[in-house]
Amino acid sequence: MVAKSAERIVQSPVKRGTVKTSTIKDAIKSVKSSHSDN
Amino acid sequence: MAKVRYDLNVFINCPFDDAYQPIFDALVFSIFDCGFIPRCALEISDSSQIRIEKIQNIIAESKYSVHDISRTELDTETNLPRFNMPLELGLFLGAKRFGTGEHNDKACLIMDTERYRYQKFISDISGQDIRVHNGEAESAVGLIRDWLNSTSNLRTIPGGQRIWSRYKQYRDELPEICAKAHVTEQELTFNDKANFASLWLKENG
Repeated sequence: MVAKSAERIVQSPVKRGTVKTSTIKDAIKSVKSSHSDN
Repeated sequence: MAKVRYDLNVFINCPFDDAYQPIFDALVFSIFDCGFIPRCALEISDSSQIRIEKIQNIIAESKYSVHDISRTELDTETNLPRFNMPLELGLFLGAKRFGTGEHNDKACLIMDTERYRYQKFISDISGQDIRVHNGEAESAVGLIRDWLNSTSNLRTIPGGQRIWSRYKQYRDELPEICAKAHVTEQELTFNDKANFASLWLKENG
């Protein structure tokens, strides 16, 4: 049986990247918000 | 960043060339979507560390691994094949065979482009279950999802079609996300790609 996606935990990467996490989060939220407005 | 979680780490041993990039990116996303952590040699930028040591360390920290042995073509400049992927597969199998404790529980997925093709160039692995992706990212996503679902104890792994659908949505949004983050897709390192995929799934999962 396939589980609901809400039950799973998305893990974080082990290493840091070159782009700040807060910058990525803001960009993702902004795109999500702009798409939901359409 | 996350602590090292042996039972969640999936070592990716695959080509890093441009032609393989669509499959590689899909694998990274899918491993996160399945609830695991993709690891690969590209994650370490410390040039003082010898490459084989980086790989050995990641293998030591990973219970799972996926090996794509499809890149058998001769290099256009040297006219020689590249042996890195079979070597790293051998390292992983050796760690499972001769390691102690948790290393005995290691498990791997071996992928190629065609069924039984491996018997002509790496016949010693005959008897292992080699899976075929036909060079298609969607097939590779289904393979790694089904394998992680059957191999691990996690019972929260979404279906392959669900993962692929989410991945397509992520790919569609990525150029816009990159623009807002003031970075181009071409500039993203492996660690960046891992962060983008993980954070997108947490926001949109």
